[in-house]
Amino acid sequence: MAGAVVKGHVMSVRWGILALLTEGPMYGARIRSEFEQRTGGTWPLNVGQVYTTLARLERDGLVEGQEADDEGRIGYRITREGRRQVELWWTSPVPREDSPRSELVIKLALAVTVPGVDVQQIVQNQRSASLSHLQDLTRLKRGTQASPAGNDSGSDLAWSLVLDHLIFTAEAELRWLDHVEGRLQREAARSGRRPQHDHQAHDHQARDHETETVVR
Amino acid sequence: MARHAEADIPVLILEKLSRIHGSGELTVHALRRINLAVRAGELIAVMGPSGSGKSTLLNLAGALDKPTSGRVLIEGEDVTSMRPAALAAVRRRKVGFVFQDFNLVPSLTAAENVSLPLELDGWSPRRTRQPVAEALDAVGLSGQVGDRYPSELSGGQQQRIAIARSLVGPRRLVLADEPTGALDTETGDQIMAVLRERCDAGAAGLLVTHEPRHAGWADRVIFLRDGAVIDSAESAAVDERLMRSIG
Amino acid sequence: MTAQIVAAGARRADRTADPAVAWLNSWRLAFRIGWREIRRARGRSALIMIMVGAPVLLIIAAVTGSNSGSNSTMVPEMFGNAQATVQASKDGDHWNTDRVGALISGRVVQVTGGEIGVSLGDRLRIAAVGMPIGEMSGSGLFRLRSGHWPTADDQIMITRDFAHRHNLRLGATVPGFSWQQPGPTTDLRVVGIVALPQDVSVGPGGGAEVVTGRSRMITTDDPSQVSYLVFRTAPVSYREIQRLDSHGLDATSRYLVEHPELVPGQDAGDQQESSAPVAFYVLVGGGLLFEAMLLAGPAFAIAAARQRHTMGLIASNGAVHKQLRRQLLGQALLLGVLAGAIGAGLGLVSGRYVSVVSAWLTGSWAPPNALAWAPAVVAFLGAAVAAVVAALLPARGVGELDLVAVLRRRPTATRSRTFGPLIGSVVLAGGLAVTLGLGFRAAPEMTPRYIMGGCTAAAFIGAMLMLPWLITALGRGSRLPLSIRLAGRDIARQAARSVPAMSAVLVASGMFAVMGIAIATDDHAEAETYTPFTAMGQGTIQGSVDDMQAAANIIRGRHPDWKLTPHSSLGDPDYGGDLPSSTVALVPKGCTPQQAVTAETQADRDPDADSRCANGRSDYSEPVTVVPDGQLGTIGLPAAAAGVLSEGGVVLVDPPLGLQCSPGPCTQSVRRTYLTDNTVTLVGGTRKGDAYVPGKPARLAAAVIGPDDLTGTRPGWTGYTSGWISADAASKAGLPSTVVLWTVDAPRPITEAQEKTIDEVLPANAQLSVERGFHGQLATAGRVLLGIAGALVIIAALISTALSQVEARPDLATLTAVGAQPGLRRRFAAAQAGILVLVGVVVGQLVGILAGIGFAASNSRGDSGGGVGHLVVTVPWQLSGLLLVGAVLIAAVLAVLGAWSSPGLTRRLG
Repeated sequence: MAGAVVKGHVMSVRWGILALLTEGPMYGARIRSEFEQRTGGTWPLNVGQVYTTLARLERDGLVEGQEADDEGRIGYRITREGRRQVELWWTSPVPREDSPRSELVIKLALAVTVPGVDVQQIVQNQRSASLSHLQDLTRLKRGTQASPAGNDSGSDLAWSLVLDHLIFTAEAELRWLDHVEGRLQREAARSGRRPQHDHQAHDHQARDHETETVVR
Repeated sequence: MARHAEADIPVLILEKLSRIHGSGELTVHALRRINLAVRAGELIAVMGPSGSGKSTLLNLAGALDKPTSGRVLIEGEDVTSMRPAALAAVRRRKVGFVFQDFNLVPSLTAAENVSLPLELDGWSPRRTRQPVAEALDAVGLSGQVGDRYPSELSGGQQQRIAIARSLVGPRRLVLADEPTGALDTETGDQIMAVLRERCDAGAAGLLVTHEPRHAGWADRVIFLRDGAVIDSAESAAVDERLMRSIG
Repeated sequence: MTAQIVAAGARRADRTADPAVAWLNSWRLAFRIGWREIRRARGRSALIMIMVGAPVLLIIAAVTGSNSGSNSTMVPEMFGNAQATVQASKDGDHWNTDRVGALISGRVVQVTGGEIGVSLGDRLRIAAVGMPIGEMSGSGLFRLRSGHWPTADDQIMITRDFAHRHNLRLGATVPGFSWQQPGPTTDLRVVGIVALPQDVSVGPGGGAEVVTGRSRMITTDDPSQVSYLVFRTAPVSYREIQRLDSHGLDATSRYLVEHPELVPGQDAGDQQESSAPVAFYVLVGGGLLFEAMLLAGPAFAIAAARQRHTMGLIASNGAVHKQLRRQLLGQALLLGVLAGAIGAGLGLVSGRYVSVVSAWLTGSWAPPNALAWAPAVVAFLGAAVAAVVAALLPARGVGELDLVAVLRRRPTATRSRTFGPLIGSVVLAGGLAVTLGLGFRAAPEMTPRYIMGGCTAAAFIGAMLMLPWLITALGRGSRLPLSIRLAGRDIARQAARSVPAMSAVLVASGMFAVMGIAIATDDHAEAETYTPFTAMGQGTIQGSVDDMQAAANIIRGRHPDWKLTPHSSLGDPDYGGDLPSSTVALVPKGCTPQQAVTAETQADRDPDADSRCANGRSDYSEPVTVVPDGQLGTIGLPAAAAGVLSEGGVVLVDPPLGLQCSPGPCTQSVRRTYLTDNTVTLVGGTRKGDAYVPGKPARLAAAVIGPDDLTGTRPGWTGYTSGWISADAASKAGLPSTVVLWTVDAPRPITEAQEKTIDEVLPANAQLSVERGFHGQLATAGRVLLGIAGALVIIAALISTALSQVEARPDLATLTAVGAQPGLRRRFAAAQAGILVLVGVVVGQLVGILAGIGFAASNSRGDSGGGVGHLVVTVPWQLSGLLLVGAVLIAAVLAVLGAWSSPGLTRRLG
């Protein structure tokens, strides 16, 4: 749930800062701007977050704080142990216990077992919304491709990678929803219950008459 | 990206369209009183499980099949009651098909495939050269590709040629039946981009697909089940909101 | 780059202005796609081209090859390089080279034909031709094969056959002499092997085996064997011909033979080929093209099926049915035109040179045949038409595509019509009924025959219409082994392919049956009326007296244990030359012996003279046979007549055996004309100049019998006689007689090889022929028929099977994947071919036999051909059975061999 998401975020920031420090010592503000830039601007950090993380890293012996320079900025340097950990991090796969949108799974799991709930409708609603989302993402992506690469091709690449990830994730969810719908239909056929979608279809047809009028 | 708002009449209108197969015990309602309009500049996607009637919808829209009741109007003309010769003329001049694969006549070059509907209409090969060149250009293919045979082209190139042919000359309506089904991810995306681009330039497109990612290229997505429309999805507008929702 | 798609309002007006141009463009598109499709399916296209082009090739080759008799072809053989040939029409001895040369400009060369004597073991008479040695190479009549042209008088050239027969080689020495004029033997040296014109009847020198410069050594009775060749550059005109004619010389101009229209008064109709061969070629050619159509039909059906998806694509792009049909028809037209052109071209070339090649192989030479352009053009057009017609039905199917199914690549079902078989059965039954009815009842003239022919054709078509129903019924059999069941169902499912192939088999075996019955019945009828020429196994020699004597001597020399018997008749019945050397006359009542011998010749000079008295002369009627002593009992005379004969009398038969009195039976009564008090008077006459000198008349006892009084069977050669007299009595009465035939009896039957060997050394005009009984045509003609019909049937079956094997590959791959044994595919192929042939041959032969019986019945009741007056119908069951069994087995085996390679698990896509 929310805690898992937060934890994931926290870990990502920690490793990200360590990875940046392998390039050389940096002071806090610089770390923050580098991080934001390289993640395509999709992940703004606040300074407090940065310094908290640096403190924890120092506590764990992965970074070393240095003397303040003339302007009073404290630089940080990665330790040998820190480098080793970063190497490990590069080469190990990201653990998969986190699952965003698990709220949807809970919702559907409960809907199927709680009587009187129109599961097909839930599925359809979610599907329409996800598809709209997907359309939006696709439009965004077209916008990226259309406009010429401006300042930093590196950050544009990062941005489109992130975008693609979102698109594929949305698609994965939609596929799963299709699958759920199919399962529900087969279950209904097997137990002889009438599928509940009939009057939904009629409702939609009625709506179609209003929204998709034939000739203007 | 703004649509080109073209003429008021939608390019394709399906009006209370029904299609019933068989009779008696074997009756199948492939489509039930479908209403749909596709305007110039629009790309509409149709999704649904197998047996939902997607392919039937496309066949009826392209006058490959006759409906049991209802009308199909292409550029304002009712094709439902047309005789075979007139229907063939509609296919030559107004509607183009893109199938999943085997779109091209193997014994014609790419350029000849694109010019096929024009030549069937009686155009001389010389006269077709310019529209063909424009069509190939519009789908991002250079002139040399035109002289190759389909067997010498990649899947993506073949589908581009098919799209070019579907919109060559005066044709404005493209009906695509899972055009990316036989292509890998990257090429499939490219083809969708081409389709989208053509629609932005003024074509009207009706696309049957089961890939949500490709349906994402459409302006509107229609969901079919058991021959009826159960829902539709349209994209929301704004970008800024998106940025925030991710973080 | 974004190209704007034009808005609705500003749409270009794209209506093509000119419908004719649109039509033309549509065909151009069809041809373009069609040509590409042809190149894509090379195998199938080549197959169609072979099937359509082969009949064209065969027919044109046959037509061109048979042109060897046309004038323009024969000219090189008639003239060599000369411009004219000149012969003496009479007074041959009077002319020589100088005299002829005085009458016509140019170089005149004498060519002498005749016989020369050579000593090769026996003294042989060999046909030879003589020409001055300097002229030989330039004459154009001879082709040197090996060695060199003679440079001296005692050098000769011989033909390859002659050298082979007598084991002679270059450099060998052959003693030669003049056969008619006695003279010394000269040693002739063989310096070259020569080839002479193949057509022996046409020009000077044809048929000779030796070419020599010693024309003196060549002798002949026939003055026309001496001719003069005129060599010059300018053609010989008609006026020159006329001039020569006025001097008694018969001249032929090369130029006028080549351009007969320049001869005034010549009937141009003589130059035309008669219409009968034309009708024959049209019939055979049409039949072959029809078969080709039936065979090409399945191939086009496959093409249509293979191109179904392409057709669907084109249709979805807006082609109308007509345009789709044009695709297939365009391909058919292209293939037909190509096949027709190649077939006609090859046929012309091969027909032109076939006689050149065959002559070269047999040691002679022949000029190339004249080209027959008109038939070639007709055949070419026929091929194009046949190809298009073959594609009509598949093209119609293409036009009725189920677009949706085709584009989704779903298998489409084939519809079967129901009314076809019904009509077919009616037509079949009706056609056969009419044919049989007319055959058994109607008069055997041409009109009923044409009707019968038409009804037979209709019956075949009716049977063909019933085939779809038949094979569908085939497909339902459920108790048969798996491979047979699969094959039957597959044949039924692919009706478009299997019905034409089966029809081809049907027609071929049906025609085979009809013709087989015709030949067998003919043979049977002829066998019934056949009279052997002589006793079985006995040989006979006929010819001039000297030739026969020489032949007898040669045979006696080689086979001393063979018995050679000369048989004579009174007078000189088989005379050569103008007049018989002697004659014997029966003196009619009221005539003197003088008159009996001389009356006719008097009538030549005096038309009013009475020639009745000469009716009994041996050269004006059938002669009296001289019976050797000891054979008097073999004739089969009744006892009384035999007694008269043995006592030195004459037995006459009334009317004479073999005498042709026309019209109507012979009216003259031998008894009344010649018999006086049971005696007749015979008188011989020897020739002096143009007249005959009567000898001493002999009055002999006589008996007259009728032909039916003779008992026993007699050899055929004895069937021409007025009566018999014993040799003893004839010599006692001083009546001249001449040998007319020798019989040859060997202790063991004379084999054909022996006969052939002896004939090679016998004079050409006195050959030995051995009676071996009736040899019908069925043996040879039947084999030819069997071969042709069998080939057609097997080809049809294999084509259909090959095409279906390719079609069935996905299904077979599935079967293999499911675990069917590897032999299943082969058995499947064998079953397909076998079923196709079996059903086709059985149905075809049934129809053909019934129709053939009708024709045979009609033939046998008529006077034409072998009309015997009563009903004769013979069905060659052995031959029919052989076709059935043989074709089924061979087709099945070949199909298995063709299906030997494993298909692998190919993709199950089209």
